[in-house]
Order: sequence, then structure tokens, then C-alpha cells
Amino acid sequence: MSQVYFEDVEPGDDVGPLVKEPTKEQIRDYVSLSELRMSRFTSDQAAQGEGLRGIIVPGNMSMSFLSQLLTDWAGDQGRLTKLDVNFRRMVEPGDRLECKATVTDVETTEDQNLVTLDVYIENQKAERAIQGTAQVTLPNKG
Amino acid sequence: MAEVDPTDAIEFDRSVVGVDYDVGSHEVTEEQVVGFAMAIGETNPFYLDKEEASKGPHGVLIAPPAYYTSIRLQPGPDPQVKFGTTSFNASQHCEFYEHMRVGDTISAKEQISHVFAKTGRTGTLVFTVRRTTYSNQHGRTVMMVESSNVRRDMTQ
Repeated sequence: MSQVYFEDVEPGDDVGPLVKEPTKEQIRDYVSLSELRMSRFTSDQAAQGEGLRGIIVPGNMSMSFLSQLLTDWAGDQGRLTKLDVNFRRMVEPGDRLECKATVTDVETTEDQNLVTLDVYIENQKAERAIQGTAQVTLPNKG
Repeated sequence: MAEVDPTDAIEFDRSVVGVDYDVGSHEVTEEQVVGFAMAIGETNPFYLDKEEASKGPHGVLIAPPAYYTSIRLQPGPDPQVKFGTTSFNASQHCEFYEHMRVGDTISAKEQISHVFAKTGRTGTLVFTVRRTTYSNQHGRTVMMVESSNVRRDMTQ
């Protein structure tokens, strides 16, 4: 895994995209592992009974994609320290999701290099399903 | 004239707000960490490959930050909000202090930090904010999450 260093990062830098296209099968795996009991994630009929068009992707699953974008970028020596997201729109199986981030601030404190980012997931219609902010720590070079 | 707070009209159990509840513990296992990582499509070997992880800085498989979403604990406090026909995730605010590692025993405390209503052009929405704090077997807090859930009436 490649490593990004604090000195190489500045506001305006883009991160990603990490592209995901969650399938019904992947949703079932996530739901089963997480023991989610809401059938809107596994049954079109149940989802329609709640006024939805069909199965939706659990919000926490989509958020996990954003977490992956950030931990992949931060590398082995970096760390995701904060993730703050709002769920704005339903995600459905088959949606093409682009997980992206933009660096908004860089700051060195007493013992850490902090990078603040705007983060979001856009669907194939360029609608934002999730958006928020994150904070990552990065290592120095050398 | 004083503005009316729409929360005042919502029926819920106010006695649970601000009170910490112990919601049990969770063993972080290789099976669940790898299963979670695979379900998300993670590729980092520190989450997926025990051999590779043992050579890395942690010496053992670690869990991706969002792993907490797969942890099932005892039911937390329920404010029993009497409103709406369905509920959805509204937001998550997470702070990660340490990795969860395979072999860790994670215990959690949960509280309802607040319940409030908002009325806008799509009608009334009722938010429940739940704060969960996760600690490891060494007594160190490894993460905190504030999750907000919104209840709405889909028949409107």
C-alpha cells in the first residue's frame, strides 16, 4: 500500500474516487454479519411496505465505503480519527457510487499532523447520498 | 409571542435521556473482522490477512474503523418515541482513538443524549441521538459514536 505524507498534502487536493456498486448479495452479506433485523435491506416487498421503491443499502454500509476511501489514502502509517456524515438520500442496489474527499485544512499540533477533509458519496446521477467531514493523521517524511 | 418547541408535543420516555447503560461486550474475532472487511470490499491486508498483519506495526489483524457497525450488543435504552411510521439513519459522528484488534474484548456503554423534533416543509421529523462509547479490555476508550436516527410519517 502506498503512503501519503503530510508534507505532500495541501488544501484543495482531491482523494478518490473509490467506486462501489453494491449488489443485493453484498447487502445480504453485510446485513447477515451485522445481524440487522430490518427486512427493508433484504426484501423488496418489506421495503415497499415502508413506502420505498425496494431494497435499500444500509446507511452504515455506505458509510463504511467512505471509511475505506480514507484509510486506504492515509496508508499504514496514517489513521482515520474522525468521521462525521449525514445520510441525505437512499442508496439502492445497483447504484454506482463514487466515494470522494477533498482536503480542506492541514494543521500540525504538538504531536500530530492533522488533515481535515470534506467527504461525500455521489450516485450515478451526481446526487450526494452521504456527505460530511473527516479528520486523518498523516506521518512526516523521513 | 414565545416560539413553540415541536419537541414538547412528542411523546417519549424522557427518563432515559442522559443516562448511561451498559450494553455488554463483544469479542473481536478474526472471522468477524475478515467477514466485515470482505463484505465492504476492503483490500488492506491488515484487515484481511493474518500473516501479513503479523508483520505490520500492529502485529495482529486490526478491524477497519467502521467495523463497529457490525457489532451487535444488548439493546440500548429506548426512549419509545411515539411518532411516525418508520425510521432511518440521519447521521453518524465518529471519533476513533485506537484500533480494535483481533483478540480484544470491547465493552460498550450507551445513552440517549437527546430527542428533538423539527418541523419543515416535508412535515415533522423526530430525531433520537444515541451516544455509544466503546472501551477495550485495558479500560481505554477506543471509539465513540453519536448516531442520529430520524422518525417520519411516510403516509403523509
